[in-house]
Amino acid sequence: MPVVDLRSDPQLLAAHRSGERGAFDELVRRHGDRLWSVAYRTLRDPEDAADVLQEALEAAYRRAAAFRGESAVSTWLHRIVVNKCVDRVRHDRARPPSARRLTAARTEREPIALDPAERATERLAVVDALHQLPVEQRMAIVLVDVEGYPVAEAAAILEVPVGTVKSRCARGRVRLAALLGHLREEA
Amino acid sequence: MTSGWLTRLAEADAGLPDEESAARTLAAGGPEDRRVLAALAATRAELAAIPPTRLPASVAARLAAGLDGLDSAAPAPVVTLTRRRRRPLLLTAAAAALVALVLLGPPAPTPPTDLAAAASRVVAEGVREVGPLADPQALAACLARAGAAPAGGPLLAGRPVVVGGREGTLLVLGTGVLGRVRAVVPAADCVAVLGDLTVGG
Repeated sequence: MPVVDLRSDPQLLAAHRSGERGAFDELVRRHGDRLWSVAYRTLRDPEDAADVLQEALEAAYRRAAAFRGESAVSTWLHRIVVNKCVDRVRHDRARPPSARRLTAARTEREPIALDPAERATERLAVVDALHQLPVEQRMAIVLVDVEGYPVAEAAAILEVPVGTVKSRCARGRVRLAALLGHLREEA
Repeated sequence: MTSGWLTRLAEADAGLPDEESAARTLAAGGPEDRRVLAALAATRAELAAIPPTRLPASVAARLAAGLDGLDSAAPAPVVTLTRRRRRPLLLTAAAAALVALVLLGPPAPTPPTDLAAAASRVVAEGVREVGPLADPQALAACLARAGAAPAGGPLLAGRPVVVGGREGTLLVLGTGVLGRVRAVVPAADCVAVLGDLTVGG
């Protein structure tokens, strides 16, 4: 049972900006599971998700001074992760998975150990179908339908209007319903 | 069935173009519309049933190592732990005492400070790297020489630290009062007190 730091997220970020080592670590402890979940559910590959999360958190660490408090710290962190996910998907479109897996950094690392229950989720049809959506729809669906964020918070994370999140979710759900066999989609 | 009709129905299901219009669209739907809405609901249910996932330990370790590397470029800290990074959290009796402090303390406890945060972390990590000060007599002599109040309880945890550029030893001491601990930092040569804070209770 870890010791609880009673400071708020903005207080921790301010402490980090003041040079307190450990303050940013506490933010990672607080939000790491949800940030990981968003990255992993979006990218599916745990190595990709780990890379993106690391890039995102290191960017947040460096950019803390730019945080103006216009959103919650958690929203800001999620936004950075989401943007990195989108960048990763777009960047990787033209690259075969084998090329991604054989980077020097990856060959030097221990593979990520997921527990058996987690491995089982990778075989779920819905997870497979989710990965076939365009990344913008996938991102909205992951935030709203998988992770359960309110639409308004998803909109803040994605920096788009609420209606855009709803529209992306709607279109994504139609596609998924067809892929999962819940309905027949015709052109 | 057309994709345009499906999309309009799905958008109404999502509350578009606005909740009122969407409700009208949904209420006016026939059997085929209801079948589609049931399919969308089944899809949402499948998505919601994807089990939650937690940050794997190996990824957390990578993140910690990455952030550790950035620490060297960070601004000068107020309190720097001379640390061994990221031991597994061991809940010792000392940690339990501090957890009790945090969890059972009054709604508005002593305002958190860098020193309190550092003490929390040292206790959580179960660290007692205090050198000769592990000896109660040496500890008492050091506090006396530094002009600090004597220890009112046992040494719970400790570690070398740097406070305002001066090296010292963070000592987390029990106070004999449930939920209250004292974090005191005598300078490395025991000639000054670099920090002294009692929290909780």
